[in-house]
Amino acid sequence: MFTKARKKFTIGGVALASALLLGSCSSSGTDTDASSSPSAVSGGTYSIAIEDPQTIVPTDCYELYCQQVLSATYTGLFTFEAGESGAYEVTPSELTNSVETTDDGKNWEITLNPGFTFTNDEKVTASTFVDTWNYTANGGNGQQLGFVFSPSYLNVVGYEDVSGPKTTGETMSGLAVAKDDDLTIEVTLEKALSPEIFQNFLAGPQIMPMPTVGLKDPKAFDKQLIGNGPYMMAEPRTGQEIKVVKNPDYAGTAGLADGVDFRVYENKQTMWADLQGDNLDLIPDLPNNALSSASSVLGDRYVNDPGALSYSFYGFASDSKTFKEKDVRIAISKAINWSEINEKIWFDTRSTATSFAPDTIPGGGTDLCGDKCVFDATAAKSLLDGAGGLPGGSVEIGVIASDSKDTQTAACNQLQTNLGIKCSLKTFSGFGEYLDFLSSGDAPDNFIYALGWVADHPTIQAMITIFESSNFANDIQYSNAEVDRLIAEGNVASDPTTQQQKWVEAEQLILEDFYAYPYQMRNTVAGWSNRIDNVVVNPLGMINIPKISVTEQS
Amino acid sequence: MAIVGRYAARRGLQFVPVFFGTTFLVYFLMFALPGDPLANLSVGKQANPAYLAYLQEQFNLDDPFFVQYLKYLGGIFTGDLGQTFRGQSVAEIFVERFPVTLKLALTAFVFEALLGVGIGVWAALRKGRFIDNLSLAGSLILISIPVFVLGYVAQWLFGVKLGWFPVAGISAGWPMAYILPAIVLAALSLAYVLRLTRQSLLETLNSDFIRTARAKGLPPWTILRKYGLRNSLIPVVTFLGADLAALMGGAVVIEGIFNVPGIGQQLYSSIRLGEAVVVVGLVTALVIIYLLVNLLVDLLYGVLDPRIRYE
Repeated sequence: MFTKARKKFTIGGVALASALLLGSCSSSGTDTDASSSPSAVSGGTYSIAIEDPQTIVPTDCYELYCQQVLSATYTGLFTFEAGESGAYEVTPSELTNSVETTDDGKNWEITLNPGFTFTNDEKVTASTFVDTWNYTANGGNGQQLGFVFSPSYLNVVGYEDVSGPKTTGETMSGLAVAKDDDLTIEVTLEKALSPEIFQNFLAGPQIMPMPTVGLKDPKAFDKQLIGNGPYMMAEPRTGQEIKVVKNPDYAGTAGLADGVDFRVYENKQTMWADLQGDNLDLIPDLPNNALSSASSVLGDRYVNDPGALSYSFYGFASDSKTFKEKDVRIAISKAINWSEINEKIWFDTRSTATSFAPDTIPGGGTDLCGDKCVFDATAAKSLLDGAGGLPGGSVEIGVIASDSKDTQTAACNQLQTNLGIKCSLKTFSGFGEYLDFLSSGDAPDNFIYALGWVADHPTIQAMITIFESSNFANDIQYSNAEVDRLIAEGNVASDPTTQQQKWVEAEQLILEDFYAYPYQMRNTVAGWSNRIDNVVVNPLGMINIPKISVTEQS
Repeated sequence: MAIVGRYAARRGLQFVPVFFGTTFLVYFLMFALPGDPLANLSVGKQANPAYLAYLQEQFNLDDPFFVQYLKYLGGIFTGDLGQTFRGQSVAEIFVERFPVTLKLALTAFVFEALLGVGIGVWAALRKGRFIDNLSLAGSLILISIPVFVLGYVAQWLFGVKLGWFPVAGISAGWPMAYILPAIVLAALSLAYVLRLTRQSLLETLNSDFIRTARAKGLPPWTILRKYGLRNSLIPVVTFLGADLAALMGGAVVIEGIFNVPGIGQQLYSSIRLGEAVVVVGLVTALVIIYLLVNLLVDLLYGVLDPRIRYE
């Protein structure tokens, strides 16, 4: 399994336990929240393990590591917060006053709250966002997040004029500052979007606002950011560390700790040794060498919650003769005991999948796969026999050597034992080689695409968009016009319930066709030291950095 | 002295073919790596064509191999060592990371030379006694344990359990943060140096001129220092010289385990990302350092043994 997304790994879930615990601390009748509970003291500095972010420039950051740093040093337009149902929803940040459509979803007005400034005293206004977004979309600047404005995402009017390597346009005509109000951004889209989708597209991946000086010299900016968030970089980053300290002039809710050190690790296993040696405070995604012992070593300083926005799936090429019979595909699904693999290899830090969207997403969490995803060796064998056996008698599963080789080896063995077929692994040295192979068309007819997917934001759409026929990452070339239509209809449905219904229907259709099915969901697996408290890691893997407090200060 | 100078200059000339050979070979190997480097880097669920086109052009990824290589060489001669996919220049990386690796390698080198030669001499002088057997057994164990096993065990024992040294990272500064990784890095070579010193010294101590010196009644310490060590250290110095450069290149594993942000870490991640320009630049720099150190060692021979002439 590997993750098809840019983010190399993801984590997520909700550490509800710690929040509930804090609530129960208050015995008196007064209202209390986390920030006034006894443990939420301010001051102190703690450290977070990250892998080396290639860049920390906001317009170029499309991986979890830099996003963690940016979430501390910037305040963007949106955050993701857990709603009443426990599902995460896009929520306007303290910077955002309102987000409104002036017609039916094509024209939008985003109004900012006044008072926010960068640490170099430049004001955060509508033109800050317009300039940053134009810079991001400009093909000549080579910024990774430019796609946010592309037709497959927001589809802002005028994107084509700036996005190509040879285009000369500087600004998208669909972005403007309101004439009478320098705090209102006007966005015009080519096609209408629902409020949920519009905000989610802007929120994940989120492009943080950049001050003019950053847009002029991004290279210097990459060394030392100038942000508008609760923390700021007081010194340039090194290969070893990115240090941030409290921003004294921050207009929003201040962070609790005085400072945060983002500690860079090249080797994830070292994180675990460092945490045990009391040299590190928080690992938002525990490395594999920690999984077997983390719960006993860390006790209540460990979360292992299902619901991260990432799954692994098996895909079958739609033109494959080997897997032409649907019963053959279902037999393969039913012949592998994933809960056993998750227990033995992953120490239950992964969960068996029943649909593409976990319950941390609005409308997600329903078992849509049903019996097809339930292990039953006998039923699997008789399904396969009923379909006339496996044409060719053998299958091949793709796997990246450094990634989930153990998992796929186990799955392969179960296919051999339970179905009496031959199974072999096709091993690749890395992500790039695997992708090359998939796009080359050299995959044999009996090839099982073992892939992974990470969503950018908590919507069902983000979990299943890979199966839209137009999606670049749709390597199995799955195509169902009905699925495309339902997803598109969901994207414009103004009523959230209808929207989720459309997407769930699309999900059901994908599982009905069964050319792809999820077998494993990621959990949020984080661990921290006894120096810090109030740790919450959301399903996208982001940490609630400003709300973490240092309890034991030296 | 003039002869030495001419010798050094001639050796210096050899750097030219080595430079071209190394850059070409490494560039070719990086080019031959399976997988499109851009796929490693940027292709996510939304392949952004504009972004890909930008990188293709910036890094000449569309050109055939020779054109890419020549463009790279052209860049070098105009002082541009190239940059990572995210715009950090190789020169900058080198300046930032090389001192770290050098510190680690030199610290390891000191352990290797002092302990290796010291224990080697001690063992040779006490041949067949307890310390000799202990050092031989100890070095055999060091040679047979893979370096990453040694690294993790040392980290767990001395860092996590006993807390004598920082577990990882260099924030504690030199020397504290460097001692543990340096010892692990030096361990294997230390064992070789120890055995080499012991063996070489034993041979020398058995030779005729030592017996003569003893017969003339010279004090044992003078014999050891002036005749024994000086004659037996040539193979050890050769090994140490070659090893200093190897320590720098070989720090990849150790830098990973102990989270030391040096050249090795950068090489590892650049190879993973397929950043040919970075890998070629760093490897070439390491090769040139290797050559320089070797030249230095060759010149040092003359000091140890004046009979050696440079021609």
